[in-house]
Amino acid sequence: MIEWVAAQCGLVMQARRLQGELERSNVLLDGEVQDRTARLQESLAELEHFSYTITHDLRAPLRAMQGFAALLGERLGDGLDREGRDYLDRIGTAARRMDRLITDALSYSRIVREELPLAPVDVGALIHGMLASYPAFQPPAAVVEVAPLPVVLANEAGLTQIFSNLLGNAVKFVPAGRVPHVRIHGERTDGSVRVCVEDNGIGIAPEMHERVFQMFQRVSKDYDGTGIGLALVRKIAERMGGGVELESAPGEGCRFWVTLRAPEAAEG
Amino acid sequence: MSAPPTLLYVEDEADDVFFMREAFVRERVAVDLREVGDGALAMAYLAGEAPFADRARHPLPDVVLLDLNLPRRSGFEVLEWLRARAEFAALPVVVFSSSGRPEDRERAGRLGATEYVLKPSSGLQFNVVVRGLRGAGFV
Repeated sequence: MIEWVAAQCGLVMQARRLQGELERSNVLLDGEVQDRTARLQESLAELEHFSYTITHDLRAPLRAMQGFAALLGERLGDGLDREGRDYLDRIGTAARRMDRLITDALSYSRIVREELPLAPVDVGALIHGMLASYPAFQPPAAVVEVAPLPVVLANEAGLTQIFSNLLGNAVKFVPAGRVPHVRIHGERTDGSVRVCVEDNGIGIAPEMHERVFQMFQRVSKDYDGTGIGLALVRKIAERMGGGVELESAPGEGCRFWVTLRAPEAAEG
Repeated sequence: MSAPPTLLYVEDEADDVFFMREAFVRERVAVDLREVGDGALAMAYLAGEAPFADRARHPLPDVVLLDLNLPRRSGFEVLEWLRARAEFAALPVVVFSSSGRPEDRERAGRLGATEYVLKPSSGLQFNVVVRGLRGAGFV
C-alpha cells in the first residue's frame, strides 16, 4: 500500500514537473515568436522604405536626363544633323525605359504586399471605361470587341492592372502595318468566371508560355517593354484567388484566359 | 501692373528647380520664384528666421510648391508645422512629388495640402504644372 502511494506521488510529481517545463518552454516560445515577428515587421518596413527611397532617388536624374535631352533637341533645332538627333532620341528613349522599369518594378513589389479586398465588380463596365480613355484602344489605332461579361468577385484596382496590361500587350505585339483586333469574352463555370483576351498579334511559342509570366522575361526585343507586365498580371490574379493561362502559337495571336472568382462563391 | 506673385519652391533637386524656372518662362507666367533646398530652410524662410529675417528681401510667399522627400525636414513635416500656425492657415500649398503612392496623397491631404501634383517623368513637361497653378489662380 505504502509502495503504491509512493509510486502515485512520484507520478504526480513527475507530471507536475513536466507541466512546469512545458509552461516554461511555452513562455519562451511565445517570446521568441513575438521577437521574430517584430524583427520581421521591422525589416519589412525597412525594405518598403528602401524601395520607396530608391524609386524616388532613381527617378530624379532620369527626369533631368529626359528634360535636358528634349531641351537640347529644341534649342539646337535644325542645327543638329540626323546622327545628332538620333543620339538625343536614344538618350530620351533609354531614360523613359529606365523610368518604366522602376515604376513597373515598384507596382509589382506593391501588389505583392498590399491587401486586395474583394468585392463584386462589373468587369465589362471596367473594360469599356478603359477603352474609352485610351485612343490606343480605339479605331483607327485598334479594334476591340467586348462581349457581355459576367460580374466577378475581385479587387477593382487589381483588375484594372490586369486588363490594362493584357490590352496593352494585345495592341502592341502585332506585326508592323497590321491593325490590332482584340476580342474579349467570358464564361461562367461553377464558382468561377473566365475572361479571355484574344488578339491577332505575333503569338508566343509554346516553350515560352511559362516564361512570359516570370519577372523581366520579354518575348521580343523588337517591342518596347519591361518584362514585368505579365508577371504582375499573374501575381494579381493569384492574389485574388484566380490565375491566368495562355493559349498561343507563333503567328496565330494569343488567348489569355484570366480565371476569377464568381460573386456567389464568396458566400458559399 | 501689379508685382508678380511670390512662389516658394521647396526642392532639393537642382535640376527640378531649373526646369520649373524654365517652365514659367515658357508659359510666360510672371512669378517671383524663391527656392529653398530642404524642409528646415523652408520653415526658417516662412518663420522669417536667419538667414531669411529680412522680409523686404525675402517676402512671404503667395503660394508654396513643396516636394515631399527632402533633407533634414520632410515635406510632410513642413506641411504639419505650417498648418499649425494661424498665419499660414490659408496659404495655398501645392505638394509636388514623384510619389504616386495613395498613402502619401492621403497623408498630404490630411495634413492640409491644397493640391497634390505628381512630378512628370521629364523635366520639360513641368509646363503642365505651371498651367495647373495658373488655372487654379495660384500664380
